[in-house]
Amino acid sequence: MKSRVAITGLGSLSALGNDVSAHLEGLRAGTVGIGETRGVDVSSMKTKISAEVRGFVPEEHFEPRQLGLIDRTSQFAVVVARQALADAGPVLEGVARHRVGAIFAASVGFHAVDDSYRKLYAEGAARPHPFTVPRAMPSGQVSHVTMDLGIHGPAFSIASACSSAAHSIGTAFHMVRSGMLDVAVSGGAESQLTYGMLKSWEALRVLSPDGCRPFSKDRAGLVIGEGAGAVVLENMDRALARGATIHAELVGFGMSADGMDITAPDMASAAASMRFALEDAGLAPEAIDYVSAHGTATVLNDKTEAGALRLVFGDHLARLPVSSSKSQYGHTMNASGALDCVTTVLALREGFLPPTMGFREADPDCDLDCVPNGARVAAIEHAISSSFAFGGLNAVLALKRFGG
Amino acid sequence: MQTDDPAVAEIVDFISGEVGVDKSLLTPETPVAELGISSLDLIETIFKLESRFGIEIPNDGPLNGNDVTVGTLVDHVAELLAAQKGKTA
Repeated sequence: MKSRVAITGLGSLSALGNDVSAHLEGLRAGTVGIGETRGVDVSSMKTKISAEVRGFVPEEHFEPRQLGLIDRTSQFAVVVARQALADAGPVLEGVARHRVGAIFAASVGFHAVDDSYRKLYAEGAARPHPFTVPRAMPSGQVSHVTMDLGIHGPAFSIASACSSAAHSIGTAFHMVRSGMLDVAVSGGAESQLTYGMLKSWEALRVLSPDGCRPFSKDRAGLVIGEGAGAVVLENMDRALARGATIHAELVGFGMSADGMDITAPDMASAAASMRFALEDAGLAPEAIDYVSAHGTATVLNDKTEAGALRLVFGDHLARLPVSSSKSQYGHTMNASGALDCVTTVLALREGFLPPTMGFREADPDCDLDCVPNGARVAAIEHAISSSFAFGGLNAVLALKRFGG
Repeated sequence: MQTDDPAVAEIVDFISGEVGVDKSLLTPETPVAELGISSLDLIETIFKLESRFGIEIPNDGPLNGNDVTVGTLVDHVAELLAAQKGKTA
């Protein structure tokens, strides 16, 4: 017998702000968190913009002795996990230690790598920082979350590029639904805003020089963001019994692998992952009221995603709003599935459609209602949140408004 | 795309070798995609052309699109090469 899964805690950190209430306010107001990059010297780069987390002061969250051991990415993960747990109330009280898990995206601590390698190669240092390895390791964020929150059950990281956080939340969902766990904290953090990584993204020729415009005919590529999102997933019966605030219900998870190309997406496979999520949730395509799209604003992604949506939703697509919040908080890579999940939960709970900002011109290849340039009030019952990663690893979450 | 120009011929030879396509197929009007050169292959080829000829091919130039032809690619590289020679001459 499958258990229902409640989302009882949320945490977020992005270019829209450093907690969930700022995130919600930004989504509703159509705030664009993209601007001139401040944290990295971009004078030698063509691309000067990014979606940075601003006003994040590590010393406000961590003791000085912790900071040498924890990369900016893991700092973000811990902060959003704390937010989500605080939001969920006394969720861990009375739960056996082995029945609480933590699953987060696997993200390299790029700041540690960049800082240490610069000292080694460019400055001729004899040795890098002694904690480069623990700061850089991709499982660092989930380890720090377990240490900080006192989690002692199943905990691990999942790597699937830009789907990492969605795969993490989906896996945690399976574990709670199957009865293996009572509570899971899940999500993902990422900060690739380093000199080396920005230069590497620029070399791949996918960055927009002047803003993120998903589904717009003049879209020019993606904008790198940083941030983190986290959710607390809880057995529904337990959440109801303790009188928890339930933000939404997680009802389905679909996955697929293109098995085709390391960067180019595949339409049929993206469609399959959306179909699997609907099947898993027991929902007909017509039941979906909103899609939080992957929507990176590269020419190829958006065209392929629009085609995949057409395959899954057919005529219903004409009545189905599809938006990309990457137009507001950039592409946060391994964190994006978690931030988009938080966005979708807020849309369901508050009854609104997050916008696609920066939209200028309709594209026949992306014939969608992308909620252009302003949020809309709408009572939505069911939504999906899609992540389609480089390398063809797809993960789609299906969510339902919680109506008591 | 003036194939009798030695600079152009050198560029064509280099591309032919890098992408493993016979020179005779590299005609100006042929879209590179039709030669089995994906957008990713094109990015790598551009990178190798930059390294080989010591030029910088801008991100927002004529090669930024999905319908690049052999002629566009070769002519753009030839122009950048000529401009660079002009500078150093």
